[in-house]
Parts: sequence; C-alpha cells; structure tokens
Amino acid sequence: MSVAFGVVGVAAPSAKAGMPVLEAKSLDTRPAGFGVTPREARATAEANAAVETARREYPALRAKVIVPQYFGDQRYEVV
Amino acid sequence: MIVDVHVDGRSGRLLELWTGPQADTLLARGYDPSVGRSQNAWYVWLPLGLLFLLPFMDPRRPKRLIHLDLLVLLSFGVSQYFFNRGQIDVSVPLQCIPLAYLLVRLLLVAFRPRPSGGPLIPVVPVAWLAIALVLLVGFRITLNAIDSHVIDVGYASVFGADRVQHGEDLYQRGGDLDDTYGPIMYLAYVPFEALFPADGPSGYRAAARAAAITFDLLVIVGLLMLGSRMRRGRAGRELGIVLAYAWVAYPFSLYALQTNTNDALVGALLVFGFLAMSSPPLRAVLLGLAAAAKFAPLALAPLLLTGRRRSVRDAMLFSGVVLATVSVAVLANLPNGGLREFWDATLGYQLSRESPFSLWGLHPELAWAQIVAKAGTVLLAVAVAVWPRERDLRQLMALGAAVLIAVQLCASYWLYLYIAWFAPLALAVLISTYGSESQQQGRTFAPNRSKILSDQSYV
Repeated sequence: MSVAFGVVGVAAPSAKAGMPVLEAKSLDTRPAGFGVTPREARATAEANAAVETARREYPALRAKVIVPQYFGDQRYEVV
Repeated sequence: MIVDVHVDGRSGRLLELWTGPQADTLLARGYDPSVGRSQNAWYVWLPLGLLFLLPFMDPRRPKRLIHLDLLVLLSFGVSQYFFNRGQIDVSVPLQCIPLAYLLVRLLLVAFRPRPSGGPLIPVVPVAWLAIALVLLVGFRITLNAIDSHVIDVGYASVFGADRVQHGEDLYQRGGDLDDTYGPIMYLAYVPFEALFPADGPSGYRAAARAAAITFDLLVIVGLLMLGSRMRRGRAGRELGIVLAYAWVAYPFSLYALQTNTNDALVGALLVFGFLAMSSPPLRAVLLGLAAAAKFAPLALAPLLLTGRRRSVRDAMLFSGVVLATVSVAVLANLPNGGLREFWDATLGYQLSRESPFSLWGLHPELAWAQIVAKAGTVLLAVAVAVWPRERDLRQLMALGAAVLIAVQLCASYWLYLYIAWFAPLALAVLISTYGSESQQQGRTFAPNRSKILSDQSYV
C-alpha cells in the first residue's frame, strides 16, 4: 500500500540535489579566497550552544566541513 | 543532518545555523529568491489573484459558493507566504486546509450535483476574458523568459532527455532526482532537448523553459476543448474560454511555469484523458502516459476504468491498454539492472525519502493518522469506480480531482507545484456549476440554449 502513496513525491524538488559541493581535503588548508581554515570554521560552529545541545543529544555526531558552491560567496558549511 | 552551520570563509563569523527539519532541507529555509521568483512578488501575485477572482464575483449574490471556492484556491497563498519565510511549521498546516476543503467540496459535487442558477460571468462579457486570456498568456511567457528559474525537477527532466538522445541508459543514477521520474516524462522532453541541447550554449534552461511553456499551453488548449465538451455550441466555447482564463489567471498555475517544472504535463494529460472519456482505449492511453510520467495518476485507474458506463468489454479494453502503455514505456527504457534498478531509481527512491513538507513529515508522531489517511484514500480511489452509479463528465472530473487531492493529502511530500495536477479539473468542475442564468437572460449566450445547462447537459 505504501507504494501508492509515496509516488506523489516523485515530483519532489530539492534545491540541494545536483548542486556542487566541495569537501575540505585538509582541515588546515584554506581554499583560495578564504581567510579562515576549515578547522577554525568547525571550531566556530562547535562553540555554538545549539551545536553543543545537539552533541549532547546525539553523542555519535561527527562534523564535516564542506564548501558549498551554490551560495555564490566564500563560506564553509559545517554539517 | 542534525545541525547545519554556515561560517563566513573570510571573517570566520557565524552566518546561519539550522536545526530540525530545516537543517536537512534547503527548500524549508525560505531563502531568497523564493521558489518561483517573481510569482512571489506582491505586484504579480495580488493582481493575478484579483484577475482570477473578480470576473466570477457577483455583487448581487454575495453568498455564491464560487466566491468561497476561488478564495480557497487562492488561500494556498497564505501558506506560500509562510513557506517563503521559512516558517514551515505554519505553512504546512495551512496548505492542508484548502486541500481538505477542495476534497470535500469536489466529493459533494460528485455525489450531490446541483448546477447553480447563477451566471457564469456575472459582470464582464466573456469577450473581455478572451482578450485577457491572450494577454495573460503573453504575460506568462514573457515573465518566464525574463524572470523564471529552473529547479531540479526541470533540469532532471532535460538531463534524462539528453541521456535518451545520446543512447545512454535512462536510469543510471539510482534516483537522487536525476532519474526518478517515469520514462514518459523524459521522453516528453526529448523534442525540447533536441531543439535546445543541454550541452548547447544555453545549457539545460532553454529546453526546460520551452517544455514548461508547452505543457502550460497544452493545459490551456485542453480547457478550451473541455468547455465545448461540457456544453454545446457557443455556450461551450464560452465556457472553454472562461476555464482557460481561470487557469492563466491562477497564481499557482504560474508557480509551475515560473519554476519550469514538468507538473503542468500531468495536468494536461489528465484534462485530455477526461476529454477522451467516451473512448476507453484513448483515455487508457492518456492515463497510461500520465502514470508512466509521474506514477501518481495511476490512482485514477479505477475511476477511468468504468467511466460513465459499466461495460465488461470496455473495462477489459481499458485495463489492457493502460497496462500495455505503461509496460511498453517501462520495458523499452529498462536499465541494465532490470526492473529492480528501475524500481530503486523511481518508486523505491521516492518511498524512502523524508520531507518536512507534509504534516506527516513535520510531525512523525502522526504516523498513525497518515496510515488512516492512506487507507481512506485507497478506499476512495476504488469506490469511485462504481459510486456514484450515475455520473456525468463533470462528476467524473470532480471525483478525479478529489482522488488526486486525497493522494496528495496523505503523501509525505507536498509542494505548491502539485496544485497544477488537479487545478484544471477542479476549476472545470467548480466554474461549470454556473451559467444557466446568463443564458436565460440572453446576455452572453444565445437565448435558445438555456436548456442545455440542465442536469443532463453535461456529457
């Protein structure tokens, strides 16, 4: 029965699909045009209270630093 | 993804922090520009909404039900407002209210059809709407050319057509949106990709735009023809103009066009499917094509199996043709991994998706209610094959739109794009309730045609 209903999602768009993302090869190497390293970006993220809460709730949480290309600026995304 | 943190790569400053469903779904964040670009702008949305509403408003009959019907159709805009602000905890419940209203309203039309005595267009002449229809079509195409964008639904369709053009396997990405549609969807894009190759100077955008405009025009043509199918002579032509006008003035038909998705193709195929109601094999081919494009229309198979009259021969013919259409489309495009790989890329992929764009996705604790809703939808889809026993084309379209809405209501993923699937049928059902009085007055119709708007006038 589930088949009959999941199919509506077949049209489902997702702004993320197909969008280019680069993964930081080294946490200590700044990509061109960047002023901070991936490690520093990760530290900024992990200093946030919401991230600390998430870490307590999900102890197995592991951070990954990526460089999204679809925002058109120099930013890290810590996921 | 549990948390998504954006950090400025130059200053190290925290830019954005997302938790909950928005951590994993960009669409749920209300980023600017909004999905549909200028369709969201007040100076486009509000005038269109007024153009959609005003011709049907009758100041002498403020309690006309069409007033409420059209306002409800526009009320998706309230949900859209919050969606654009990233407040999906508000937008998702608000999208369910008009869906639920339309479901009930269309079922009432199907089971208790009562053509109204009110005029179709109370104030303005139909000729004005014909002129406005042409102008609005021009406006929509112009807006598409200068300020639309192609979201993944559009480019995935073009890339699929590109694979067909290059003799590659259509299904090779394991879903992930690039190859998750039925084969007919990609084949429908082949002519556009041939004209505007994805690897050409304009990339995938030109083909996606050309396809979206064509699908939109097909809905318009279908509605023009539907008017003549529902009423004879001039009254039918006028009804067709009014239906096509309502479509082009409806902000959520523009939503599909402005995002250059393939959703209007589903709406068009279904309109033509109902137009072909008198021919079991033809309506079977059209339903088969719609089902082999986006699967969900298959929910209309029991309804269209019986159509207006119950005949074992017709039912067998219909079933055979639907099965053959879907089978040929799928088998001719089967990947090396066979049906298993096809399943994994299409339905299997979709069934495993999670989304915050439905009550069920936003509130997993409502899983039990989703099961109830699914069971109810299955019952509805099957029951309408035989119930109500006597039905005309308008009732059949009401049932078809209701089944589509029921399927959408219990799905885990919903977006405003899907309104284009049922809106043509719903508009035809709700608007064609009216018209008899204007004929009697002889104001916009020939006086001697008033009787064709009786209960029996619907084909």
